[in-house]
Amino acid sequence: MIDATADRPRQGPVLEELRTYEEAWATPPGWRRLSSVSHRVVGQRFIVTGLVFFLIAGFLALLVRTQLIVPENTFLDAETYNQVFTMHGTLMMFLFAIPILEGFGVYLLPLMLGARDLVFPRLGAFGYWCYLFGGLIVLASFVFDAAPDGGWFMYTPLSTKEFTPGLSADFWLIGITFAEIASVTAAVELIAAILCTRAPGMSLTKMPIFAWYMLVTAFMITVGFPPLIVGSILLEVERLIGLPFFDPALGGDPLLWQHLFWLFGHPEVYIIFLPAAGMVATMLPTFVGKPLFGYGYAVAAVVTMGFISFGLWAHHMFATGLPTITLTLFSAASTIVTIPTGVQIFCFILTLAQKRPRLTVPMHFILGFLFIFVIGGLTGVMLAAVPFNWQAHDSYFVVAHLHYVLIGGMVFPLIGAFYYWTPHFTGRMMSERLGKWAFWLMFSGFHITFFLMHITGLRGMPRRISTYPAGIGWDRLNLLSTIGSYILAAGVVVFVWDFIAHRWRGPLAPRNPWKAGTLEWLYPPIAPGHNFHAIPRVHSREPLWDQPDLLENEAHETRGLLRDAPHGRRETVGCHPLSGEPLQIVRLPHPTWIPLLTAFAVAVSFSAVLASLYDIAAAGAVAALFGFAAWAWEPSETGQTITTNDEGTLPVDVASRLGHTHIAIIGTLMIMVALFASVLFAVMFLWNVQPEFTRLAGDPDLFWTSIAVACGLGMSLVAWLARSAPMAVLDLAVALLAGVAGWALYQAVLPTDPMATALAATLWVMAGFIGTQQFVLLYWSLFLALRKVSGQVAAGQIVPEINRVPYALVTAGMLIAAAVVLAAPQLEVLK
Amino acid sequence: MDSYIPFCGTPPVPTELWTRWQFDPVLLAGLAALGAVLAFKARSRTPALVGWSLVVLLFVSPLCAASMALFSARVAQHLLLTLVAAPVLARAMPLRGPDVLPVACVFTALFWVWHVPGPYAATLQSDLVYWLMHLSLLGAAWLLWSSVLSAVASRPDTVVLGIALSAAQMSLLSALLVFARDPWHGWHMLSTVPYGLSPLADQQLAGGIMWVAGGALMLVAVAALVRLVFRAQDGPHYSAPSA
Repeated sequence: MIDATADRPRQGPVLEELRTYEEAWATPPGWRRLSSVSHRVVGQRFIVTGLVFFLIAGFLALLVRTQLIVPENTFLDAETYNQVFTMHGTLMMFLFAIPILEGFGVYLLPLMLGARDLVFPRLGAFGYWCYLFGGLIVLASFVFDAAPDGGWFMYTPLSTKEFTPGLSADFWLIGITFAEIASVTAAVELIAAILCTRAPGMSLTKMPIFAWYMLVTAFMITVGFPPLIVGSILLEVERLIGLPFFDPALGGDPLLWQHLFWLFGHPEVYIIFLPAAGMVATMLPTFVGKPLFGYGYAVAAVVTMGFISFGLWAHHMFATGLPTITLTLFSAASTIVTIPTGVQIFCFILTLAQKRPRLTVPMHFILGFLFIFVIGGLTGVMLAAVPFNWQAHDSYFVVAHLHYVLIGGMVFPLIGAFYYWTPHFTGRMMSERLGKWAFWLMFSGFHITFFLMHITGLRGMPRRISTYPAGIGWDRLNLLSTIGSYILAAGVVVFVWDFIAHRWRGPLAPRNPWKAGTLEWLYPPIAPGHNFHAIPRVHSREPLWDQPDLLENEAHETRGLLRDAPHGRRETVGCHPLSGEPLQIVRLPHPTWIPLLTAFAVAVSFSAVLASLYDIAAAGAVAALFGFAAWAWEPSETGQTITTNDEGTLPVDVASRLGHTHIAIIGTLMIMVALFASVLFAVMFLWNVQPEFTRLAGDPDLFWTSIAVACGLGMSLVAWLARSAPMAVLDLAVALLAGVAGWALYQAVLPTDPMATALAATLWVMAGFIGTQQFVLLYWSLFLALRKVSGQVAAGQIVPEINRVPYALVTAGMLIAAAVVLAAPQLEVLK
Repeated sequence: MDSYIPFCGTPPVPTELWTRWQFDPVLLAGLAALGAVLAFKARSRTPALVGWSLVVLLFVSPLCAASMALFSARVAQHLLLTLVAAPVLARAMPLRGPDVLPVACVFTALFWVWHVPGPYAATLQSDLVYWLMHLSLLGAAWLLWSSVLSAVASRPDTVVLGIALSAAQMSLLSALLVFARDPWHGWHMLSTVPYGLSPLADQQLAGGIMWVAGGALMLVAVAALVRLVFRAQDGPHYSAPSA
């Protein structure tokens, strides 16, 4: 092992001549570091926390394998075994895979795109705390001996109160829903950051490929997570209050849960795969020394995958009695997904074919990814064939397939990414020697464990059984799989040891250690916390290859925009979403405790629901609302201008539909529409599977329904007017109309009894969801009125008014759709 | 009312299906008029010809009669009309209209209205309603794809949202068709049996076609649009400097 030089890695440089600027960007020292909202700090928090969850979940996997090492083992009893495999899947899928990949996105994207921070740093910090608290709630179930034990997909009716009494399912539903807030907030933040803060000249087609993968992933999260959030809320409400969503005796359907779950669950697989594939597409060109082959085709394939993943959920349900006539079509649809996946894989292979790659540790993991993922893809094609699927369903073949796809498609690229980017975090190189040990141990251990599982599955061993009888052909295979899992774990231990020990043993990282072409390697590690002293103009996807002066000169002397900040504020360049040309200056927040406190208030609220302490839950929610108000209560800076060095004068926080806040609102609305569509799906699904329950619980009141629609339309109109004539009285009118619309909708559903039928219960949920939307508008409008009355707003500062228009319009659209659904059973013309 | 024969005739049995071409003079005149407009106004000839031929085929061929017997044939006709013929025609002769998102909302509303029981039955009670359905669907789809093509370079955000909405509503409707316990349309209660399908199986097939074929057509459109953007502004490539 090379002995580290006595010199420590330094973050910087910190320039004396730019004192106010450097001070504005300094990270608070000591325990006050927790108030930092910088993407560099938040991203590392996500990554480290995700890694800890990975190790816990991996340990649980070893418990599972140890239990199965010999037949009729008594190492774990059946109940504990159920808890262990459930928590293994839950932690891996929800608390490791998505957050850690988002963490890499949060950390890397501003560096790659030429920004000093993400556009909404406080939102990122808030998301992290939600993730941490949600994860802790899930983990706390172990302490209360109430760990969830229904499998990571929590199928009803097993997970309903009748068959899972106690709190275990509640821990799962509440903790995971809370942690998902982190995922969706991070998704909105990444969308806005990728579209709105890129270096001058970086048009969409010149973005680093990783940004494309993350952009598509973020959009998929905004649409893909809401079905599970809705499903979890329905199930939790059924468990707490007894609304019969999943009860067939009252017009519900347990399959509704499966639909909602897999509407999320199938895209989830791609949400996990795509960022990792984006890492591969970033690292691979570095080691080959050639740009990614077929960039445009890869992007088209990724976008298509984003779309296709939402149409495939039924193939997880082949064994649930889907109509026979449609099975062939679903089977065909499932094989279609191989086309965009294949395009990407061939882009990688053809990149490799251009030149001999340097066989570094990350390159080993990339090759491992290609090998394992292709096998996983092939067994996926096998499972897409319905007859085979029925044969292999719920057997270890499926376990093998999903681990090939997830470990091959995500974990191997991720460990490669750790070796590749860790120098950026720590300023030191991880060990090539230990890295190769880690790779070969993981690679061989993986195949021993999981390749054999294909055979175990074909020999009929079902998944999720806590033990098995001896002598039916499963003994030796299970023994070998368990030994393999220990080898795999040894590889992970070597990696983790290297990740820890390189901090004092690793050699200092040189500037651009891998000779990469992307902008994050501009500074010698560790780059300063603000990422760029000046933001350079870029001309291609590989600026460090194409503009040699960037690496020939000192990084802090790079020519570019926004050098210095004599006003002592954090800011970065905002760009046109398409062309990447500078459009505005985005002001960024300084360290603050508000995200942590607000997330804590939400955590109190969620935990209190779990403990059935509804007063405390309400208090937590109110505290969170105050937190959000304090968050947004800052002077608007629209109308100021900043003179940049090269690009003339730019306005601050421009009031335009191209602004970052407007794009974030559009992203948020995608989440809201997806939530609403999930509820709508639940309503119409139940209506169609048990039609005789349609009008059993009473009919909604159509008079009040039409009042609600009228108020919704009026609210949109006033919001639209307020855009050109921002006055407090118009804000109050929006608030009033929003309030009346919500109240009228409540009156409309009041004649139906939500306890009587599942359909009526979902109608109440639909009304409740729209009521929440109305409440947001009411709260928002009162807030804006208060700001105007208290003299916080100057002329022309109309960003919030511009942003409120689409929110009001979409809410009105939801009201109309809801009105149609409420009225439809009573309308003769539709029958 | 009882003596009314729908535009495409009574539901055919399989053996007579291939003889059931539709040579209604008004229909032919309308198609000829469409052809004439295209011949004079279209920006490019090949897509105009392809689109027009497809429209002719969709209305003159026995598909018209088949859709009297099978709801799935009707759905296939509508998918070809709105997801193949309409984009090709929009390429040949773009219509000018509002932004993508409002048009997508209108298209969504029409697509739902014409496939739910009440209005669907009405199209089989009156030639006027029948043509209202097809003209409004084709018109909205033509407008939708026109606005998509014109906005794809300048405002891809609205295109992405508009296509996502159109695809999502189609998936939702198709899921309902697939999972519904009872058939929706009284008209098809007896008409599907000669084809060896129960009315419910026919409806499930219709849903499956909408789900899978509709989704696949949407995907082709998405991939083509992304390529269109990239062909217009593909950047230069650089390799690593040889050290």
